This record gives sequence, structure tokens and C-alpha cells, in this order.
Amino acid sequence: MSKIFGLWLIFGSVMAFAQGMATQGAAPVARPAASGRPFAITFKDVAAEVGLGARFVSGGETSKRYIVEANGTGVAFTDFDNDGWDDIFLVNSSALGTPAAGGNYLFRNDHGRFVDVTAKAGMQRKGWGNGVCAGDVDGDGFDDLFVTYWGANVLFRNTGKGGFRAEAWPDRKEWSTGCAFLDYDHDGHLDLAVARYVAFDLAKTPKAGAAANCQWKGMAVFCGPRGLPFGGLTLYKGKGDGTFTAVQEWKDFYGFTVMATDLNEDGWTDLYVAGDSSPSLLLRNLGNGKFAELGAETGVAFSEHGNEQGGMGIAAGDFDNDGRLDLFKTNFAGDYPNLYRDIGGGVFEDVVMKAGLAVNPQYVGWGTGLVDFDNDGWLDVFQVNGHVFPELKNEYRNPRLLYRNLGGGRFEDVSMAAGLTEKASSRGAAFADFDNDGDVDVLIMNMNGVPTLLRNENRSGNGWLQVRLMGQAMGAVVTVTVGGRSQAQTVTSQSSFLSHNGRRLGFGLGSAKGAERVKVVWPDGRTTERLDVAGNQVLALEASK
Amino acid sequence: MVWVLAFWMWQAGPDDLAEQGRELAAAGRMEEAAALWRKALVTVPNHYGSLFNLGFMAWQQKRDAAAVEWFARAARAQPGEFNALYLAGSASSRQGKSAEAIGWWRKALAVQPTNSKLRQAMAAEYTRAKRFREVVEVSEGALDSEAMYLMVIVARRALGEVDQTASLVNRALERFPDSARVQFEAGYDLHRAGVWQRSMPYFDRAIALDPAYEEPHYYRGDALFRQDRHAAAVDSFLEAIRIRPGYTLARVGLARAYLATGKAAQAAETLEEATRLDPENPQPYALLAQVYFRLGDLNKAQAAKVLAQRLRAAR
Repeated sequence: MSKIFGLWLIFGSVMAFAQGMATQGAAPVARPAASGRPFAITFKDVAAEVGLGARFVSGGETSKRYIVEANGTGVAFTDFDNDGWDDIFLVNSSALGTPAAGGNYLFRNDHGRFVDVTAKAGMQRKGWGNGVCAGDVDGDGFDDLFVTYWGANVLFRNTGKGGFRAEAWPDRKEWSTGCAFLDYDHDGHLDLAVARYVAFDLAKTPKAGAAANCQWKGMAVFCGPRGLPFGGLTLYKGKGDGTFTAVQEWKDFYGFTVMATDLNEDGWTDLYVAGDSSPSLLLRNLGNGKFAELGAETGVAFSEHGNEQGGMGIAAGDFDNDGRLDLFKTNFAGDYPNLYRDIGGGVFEDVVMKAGLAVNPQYVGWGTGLVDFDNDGWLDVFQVNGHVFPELKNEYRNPRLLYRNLGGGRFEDVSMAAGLTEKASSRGAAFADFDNDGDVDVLIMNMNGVPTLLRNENRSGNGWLQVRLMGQAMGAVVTVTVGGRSQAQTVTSQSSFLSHNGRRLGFGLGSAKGAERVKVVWPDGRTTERLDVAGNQVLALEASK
Repeated sequence: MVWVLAFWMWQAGPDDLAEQGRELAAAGRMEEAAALWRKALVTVPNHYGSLFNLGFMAWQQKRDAAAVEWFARAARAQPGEFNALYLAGSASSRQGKSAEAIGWWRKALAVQPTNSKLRQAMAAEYTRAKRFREVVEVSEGALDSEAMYLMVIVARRALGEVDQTASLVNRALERFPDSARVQFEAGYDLHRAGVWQRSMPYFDRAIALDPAYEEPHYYRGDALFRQDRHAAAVDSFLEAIRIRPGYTLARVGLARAYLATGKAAQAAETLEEATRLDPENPQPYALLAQVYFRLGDLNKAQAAKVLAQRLRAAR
């Protein structure tokens, strides 16, 4: 063999290796030592037991060819017949090539047992449903439902006689997701905000694996949302008769859940919209019929490092009992959720790491609620999870998470202790006291599965007070003062993930027998106040009284 | 003299020509050397030595596409020759052709499965391509250098293998206790886990070992910030910036520390400087929008937000 030259050079010049940090992929933050404090809550899935027979259709079961199959649907607790028992509405999707599959469900709550009244109530509509929001659009005292579709949206007008009348929405046939009723101009009529996720055209969407935005860790998967045309948000002005006119539009983001409430305590209802792979929007109501987008300015658009996140679900509530509403947002896997603390004036700071809520970044988070499950006077965090790719067999189904609020701005993961061991790929979740026993229960949508109804088996013995606001209350903020501490919650038309919670707000009283004060700031800025309110009751309040 | 050389070339065999070429190359007479190797190939087109040397010359001169062609021919001529396969991979890597480089190196690995330097080169290539599972696989049996340890630590961390990463970091600490980088990685691991107080001694040791290493200063500052020790955090961030003025992350950290202490104007100043030094990075603009909003300058806040979004969209 001939000699060769220069081999002394071979290795020295190619040994460069990446210097610097692996900044991608959020790691679970270490769990602090267990508090050791008792948490007398367990959950039991009673869906089958109480007659909640339904099945969700969510595109392909083992593989998703297009992103429209991956996001699932919202669910709702809504007392549509005003009998004091929260009923259940389930939005359903469909399957590609099988348009007759699916169809929404309506279950009437008969003292804690559910009766399927879908057909009887005129709700047997097929279609690719996504989200739901509730509000009394015509002021007849009965909540109507707006359901978003990939296709034409539908306003289900509550007849007040145990049924609904579907009214086609005069809109483009797009892929709508989030929606929220609000009275942004204080005219007494509900207006409506509708988010769109992607300007989705099946024929123009590349096939799985066809481009860089159609890959996940080297695996060919459906494309998007990045690389697909943006959705947006439209604000419709309501005329009070169930008809609406588009008045304002925001573009260039992938919009999911929409929540309407007053986020800067100025008496005007604002909008917060979870953006997936795009900034989340905070639309501040300027009080003159206009909104200013201030997500980045107020600190709720990005992660603490200024990065876009995969925002899915939103919850609002006063986790630190300072009387101001804070926000919790679920995000995609490999990222932490956000716990945005209102530091005053509608400016927020993300305290998720300090709060101990950054311990499970491995899950894709969806539906969520800030709810006081044990009635101790501190809002806990509930979150449902599930990956978007069923091809990831070991990661697709995840457990639900419950973080109990320890006070002092700290939370503790008590999921296992609360019996949350079942794994599912869940999306929507809604919160209400369906069995009227004084604690809040959880309704969950599971992809290509049956619903879960988690009955709260609360052994804490803590007192409670539920506040039901009558009439136009979407966006109202209720503050309950117990033992000198103020807890704030809000009535929302939509929150969690594309879902609607029961109207009754549950406040924990701990060992107190009642509340010193209950204050309501209604969406039109008026206030109602009650002093020395006894506990363990539902307090119904009307704006005019 | 020319005639004598021509007569010799006419008579000489390919091995002789290749050897003569090697001597000329060693003397820096590259063109003459190449002529001899090409002449050898006229006689024996698959002459390995000549093909390899032409490839190596091209590789040295950074003519990587040509180098790959020569090495490919050399590898076909003698498939069991490690060097041609290795250098074909190297030339492909330099062209940014990661898949090709890996392909060549896989063949080289089949020839020399225990070659740890090759495994290290492959790990570096897989790291660049963010193929972290392969980084871990290729490190099997070749975890014998600090560089390899560091690459596998980064890979396991990216794969979310928290326990394995921690174990590897501990082994690296035992083997390379005087490595600032290893000390830093140990601190960084704890920092990621949110154990900020425990991360700090490692950052301090990394700084003591290499005072000009800016990242431990930054993460020390961040750890202090998260423990609400804002004034001390400012000092660490400033030191990181002193070492590397273009360290945007440190400037953003500094601005956040100022903001937390109510010094919004200083935060704005810090971020403005960050945007001057790193104008294409949306991160400082995103925070600047918040800072100006808190300062009540809505126009500047809006402008910063628009720029952040525009820069992000352009990425």
C-alpha cells in the first residue's frame, strides 16, 4: 500500500462540539418536600353510574392525518332549564370521510342523574364541533349556547321550554374554536367574540410528513399549526335579539380558548385569548367601544423568556387572595404552564416556577380550572392532559393533575392522593357542583372515548358558599371576604379549554360559618353587596337588586 | 532534467509515482504532487494511495465537494480502509451535509468499531443535528473524554432523561473535577430542576476555575433572581455582560432584576442596549414592551411589541 500523508491533521480539525446550553425542552422542576398537610379530597369517575352515556368522535383513533382531528372539543355545565341543577352539554367532532359520525349531546340533570335529551331538546346536530360558550343573548332568562365548528357555527337559542332552536350563524365557514359572550359596550346586550384557529383548507394542507412543520422528533405527523395560514378573532356586536354584527377583527395568530372578564378592575370586560404557537392576546376594553391588544405589554403574551407558547386552556381566579384575578394557562409539552399573577393595574408576572406548578412539563395541557375543591378558601389548580399524536403510544394518554393551594403562593401536586390515576387523552374540562352537595366536580372530554365525570368526594368538612348571578353576568367578578381575606372569582362564558363552567361560583369558607361580605362587580360596572352571609347555601343575586 | 523526469515517469509504476507525489506534497509542491497522482491513476484507475492523497489534498484546501469524490473512489477501491471513509465524512460534515457525513462515518465505524475519536466526531455531528438518541447510542463504550461526557450530558438532558443526566454529571464531576464546564453543567442541572440554592456552589466553582467563563455568572444571577435576591442578581448579570457584552440573555436577566426592584428606567436602558447589540433577537423587544408599558410610554411599548413580533415571524 502506498503511503499517505497528513494524517496528523485528521482529528484536530473536526472535533468541534456544541458549546452552550440546551435551552430547549423544559425540565420538571424539583418537587419540594410534601407539606404533610391533610387534603381530604378524592375524585371518583361516576359518568357511567349517573347515566352519562356518550362517545366522542375525534378523527382517527390511532393516527391523525390532519390537525383538525387532534384538538378535540369543549364541554359545558349549563343549567338550561333553570331548575337549579347543572345540566351537561358535550360538543362532538366527527371523522374525516364519515361526516355522519359524531353529533353533540345534551343531558338533563335529574337530581344528580343524567337523562339524554339531545333529540327531545332539538340538539341532535352533526358536524365538526369544537367549542362552546354560554350566555343569555336575548335576555329571556335562559342561557343560550354558541357552538363553534369547522364549518358554519351555530347559535342554539334556548326556547325556555326545555329545548333549543338552532340558528345558522351568518359567517364564513371557517375553523372556529374559542368563543365568549360579553357586554363590551355596556348596552345591556350580549356581544360575542369568536376565535379561529387555522384558516384550514383540507385540500391545500400538506400530507403528514410532507414538510418541516409536519415532523415530530423525526416522525411524520400532521402539519401545523406552524406553516398553516393563521386564524384570528372576530368581535360581534349583539343587538339583543339574538342577531349580531361583526365590528372588529384581529389577525395573525392561532386562536384557541377565549375568556371574557375584567382583568384590570376598571369595570369593563376584557378578552384574553390563548394563542397556540403564537402570542396570546389580551384585548383590553378601552371603554369607548374599542379594544387595545396589550398581551406583550401586560406580560401575558409570552413565556418569561419572551417566547411564544402552545397556549391551550385558560382559567381565571384569585389564587393568592389579594382580591385581583390571576390567570393560569396550559401549554404544549416541553414547556411550563403560566401562572400570571396580577400585580396591579392589569399587569401580570409569571410566577409558575415559584408556585411549584412547573413539575409536570412533560404533558400537553388542555382544560383547566382554578377551583377551591376542598373549600379551604384557596383556589386549587386542575389540569387535564393528552398528547396530540396518538402515534406516540406511551405519551398520548396522561393522568389528570391536581395542585392544591398551600397559601403563600405555593402549590403542591396531590394528583395521586386525590385518586387521579386514570390516563386519557383529554381536552375540554368544565367545573360545577352537579350533585349540589357543596363542592365542585369536574366534567372531562376524552379523545375518541367516553366522558369522565369526576365526583368530588370531599371529606374536609369545610364550609362553603355558592354565588349564582342571575341575568346578564358574563364577566362579573365576585369577591367574598372571609376572616378578613378576600377571594375573587369570575363568571365566564368560556374558559378551561373551549368549555363552559357552571354559573354558580363556589367559595370555600374553611371553618367559618359564613362570609363577612359578598361583593359583585357586574359587567356594566354596577356593584351589589351583601354583608354577613350565612354559609352552606346558594346565594342568588340579581344586578338590579 | 525535464527529459530525465519525463522518462522516469514513463517508466515508474503507480506506487512509485504516488510515493514521489507524497514527497513533493510534503515539500509543499502540491501541483506537482497532484500531477504525479493523476498520472498514477491513468495506469491504475483504482490506485488507492493516489485517490486518497488527491482527496486529502482537496480536504486540506477545503475543496470539500472534490474531497468527497476522491475519498468515495478511494473507499470503493479499498472498502476496508478507515481513513478514506472517515475523511469523506469529515468533508461532508464541513459542507453541512449531516446525513452524508453520518453515512460515511457509519461505514468507518464498521471498520473500526472501537475508535473512540470517530465516535466522538459522530456524537458531535448528531448533536448538531439534534439527534440526541443517536448521541447517546454512539457514546457506548467511548465515554472516555470530557468532550464526550459533555455531549452526552446535553443529549440526555434534551431527551428529558433527568435521572440519567444527573448520574452522568456526577460521574463527570468525579473524573474532571477541575473542569469549569463540568462544574457548570452540574449547576445547570440543578438550576433546571428549580433547586436554585443548591446550584450556586457549582456556579461559584466554575467561576473560580475559569473567571472568564460567562455562563456561570449568568445562571448564578438567574438563581439569585429566582430566590428574590435581586440586588445580588444584578451583580452577577453585570459580570456576565462585562465578559461578553453581546450576551443578550444576561441583559434580559439584568433588566428583569431591575424591573423587580422598581428600576424600570434602568431596565429600559439595559434592554435598549441589548437591542443595539443584538438587533435581530426578538427577546429583548418583548420585555421592552412590558417595561415601557409600566413606564407609561404606550407608543414605545407598542413599537417594541411590533418589532418583537416582526423579528419572531422572520425567524
